[in-house]
Amino acid sequence: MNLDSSYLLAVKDLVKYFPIWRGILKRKAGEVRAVDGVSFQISEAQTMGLVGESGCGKTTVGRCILRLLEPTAGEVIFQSKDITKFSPKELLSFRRNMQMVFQDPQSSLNPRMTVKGIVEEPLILNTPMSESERENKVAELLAVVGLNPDHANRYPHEFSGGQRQRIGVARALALNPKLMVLDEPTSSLDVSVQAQVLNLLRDIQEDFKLAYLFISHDLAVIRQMSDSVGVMYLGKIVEEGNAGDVFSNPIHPYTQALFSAILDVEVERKRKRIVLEGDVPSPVNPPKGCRFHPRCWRRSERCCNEDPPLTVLNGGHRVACHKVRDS
Amino acid sequence: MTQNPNATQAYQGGQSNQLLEISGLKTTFRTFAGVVRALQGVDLTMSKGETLGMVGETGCGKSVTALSILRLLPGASGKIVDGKIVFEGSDLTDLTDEQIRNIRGNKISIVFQEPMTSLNPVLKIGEQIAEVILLHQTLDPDALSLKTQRMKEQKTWLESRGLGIVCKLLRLDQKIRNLEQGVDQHIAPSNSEKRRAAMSRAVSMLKQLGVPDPDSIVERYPHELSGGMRQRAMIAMALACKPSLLIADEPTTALDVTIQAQIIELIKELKSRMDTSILLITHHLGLVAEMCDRVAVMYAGRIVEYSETTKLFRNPYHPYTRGLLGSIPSTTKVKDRLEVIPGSVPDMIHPPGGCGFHPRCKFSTNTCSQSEPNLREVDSHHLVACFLYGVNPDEPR
Repeated sequence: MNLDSSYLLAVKDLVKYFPIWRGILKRKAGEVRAVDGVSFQISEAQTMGLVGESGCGKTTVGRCILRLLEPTAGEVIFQSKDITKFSPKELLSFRRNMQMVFQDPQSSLNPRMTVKGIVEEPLILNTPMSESERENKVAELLAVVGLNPDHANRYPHEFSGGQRQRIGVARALALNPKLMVLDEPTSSLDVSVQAQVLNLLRDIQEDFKLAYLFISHDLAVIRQMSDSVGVMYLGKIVEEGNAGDVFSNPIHPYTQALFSAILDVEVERKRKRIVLEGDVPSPVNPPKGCRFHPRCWRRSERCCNEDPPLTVLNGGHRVACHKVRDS
Repeated sequence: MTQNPNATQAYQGGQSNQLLEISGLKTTFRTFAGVVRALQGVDLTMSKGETLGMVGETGCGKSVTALSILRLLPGASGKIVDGKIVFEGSDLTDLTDEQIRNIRGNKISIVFQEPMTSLNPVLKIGEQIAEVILLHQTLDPDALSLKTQRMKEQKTWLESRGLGIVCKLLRLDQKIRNLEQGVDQHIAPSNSEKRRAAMSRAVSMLKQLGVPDPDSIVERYPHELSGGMRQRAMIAMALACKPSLLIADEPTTALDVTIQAQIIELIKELKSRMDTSILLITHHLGLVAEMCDRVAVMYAGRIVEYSETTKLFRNPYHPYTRGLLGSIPSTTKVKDRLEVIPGSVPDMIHPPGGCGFHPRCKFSTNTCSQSEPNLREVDSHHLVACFLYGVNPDEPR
């Protein structure tokens, strides 16, 4: 268990299946294989970007790491301890090390609580601070995220989208966590506001030595923020590695297609776009063999039957594709 | 406000090719909090066959412009208070409700962002596409030929079973002849026959959009389709009458990247095939760079910069455009910090006086807060509404 002590967080073969109940007897009719064997590591003060299309399981991974969802199988090792084995009591005191910022600040902030109440709540639950101490801490946190501490008594609806997301960040920061799971933190924001929030997240990371798990479907945001990147497709990581390597030299056909679909503002540089056919298959009944094979233009007989494992290439770049292993 | 339609006209180089001309458009909404001045004088021209991108952030008035063109503003609160929208020679703001209904979905159609909320959940996809066709197109020839075909089928069926006598009793031969020659004036197709003809056109429309198995898709309800498929159905509906203008309001925002790529290729292909002009409304600058010939950048209810796509991205003038471009993360160049436009979009109940951008602009001067800059041509075919370039285009940027 101490193998991964060099990492802050190591996720090993994480699996999460959601059962589907049918009929009045509520018999199990099948499973949604949301996450099906995902492994990765995050070092201290580093950012791991998790990118993929909707329904690929990236949010489920984030939630399983925090045990907001119980993983079906696999290990989540945080500072050499396997979180999945924690009792509820242990978990309660442990959770302060990991926090989450959600996608939609509109729905993740209680509309009937003041900003002070929202940011203060984790402090009440987890620390023995006195009221005046808490008040100071809240003011400090609001200042950190670039909000006016005088606005602490306002309600979330009085703030703009970007400011609301800042409140969410302040709440997550309250207990000095080591890891923050950021689940699409900017996808509901406008570009100019998104830039403000991304810069803020960067600054906080430096100041607080935070590790981030950055979940997003926006490739450019992931590139901007991450040190390493994992590309997910239908519950599996198909390619993973250093952000620079993966973006400059994508190897898995899905990654190549995904990156070629990026719309860039650089009008001069027109890439050849790979347009994939069809939709993402249902995770209830994922394709046999390589999960990408029905949409892949390089598939062979083998891809249809055999699931390719993640293979390490040079420099820690890992790819799950038969074609790459063969060549 | 002083309007400046001349600038946009000069830019067009005459009116021969003009499809749409908006001048001085002002739209307001009455709310409990006050009057929202959503559009504060929009000037815009579009020529035939071009793709014009309209970019800007939430609340800048892009969608309101689209809704104003189609007169789809919520009747109780939204109102066009000033300005003209000239489409193919007639002013849309002057038309009666009846007349504008003939244009909507026919000459001008719109694709909305979220296909799930803009499709009717209790009607089958085919019925929804067929409805547009039924409303706007003459289906008599189609319906009659379908009718003839069915009668012929009946006849061969009967004859193959040795029931030729029934054919004679029903006088099928004569009826078919009448239909083919169009002799009988009483054989106008019934509604159900028209509907059937519209349905077959809906199927062929979906087929053109590369929808696999269109015959079964028309029988399905919106919730049974994936996001990309629903958006295709929306596009099929919009293009069913071969409109001369298609307004696409964030057509790919709700879709995944790979599906977005499919839809973009599709729209491009259809555009060249159907000779439709597209007004593409989006907040995604990359999408504009990919699809559009020209771009209009909107801010606080006005167009602040207006140019050819390559020119605008290569050489943006307006401080807002430059800020916007700087704030986009890129996958090729990682910046240590993204550029930021301080503050946020103004409240349009109390829009800032003068230039709408001045409270967030680092170049703002006294002039900016007092008077409002017009769109001026600062470079060939490049219009900017900013005092920085007002007097002398060579002034430092």
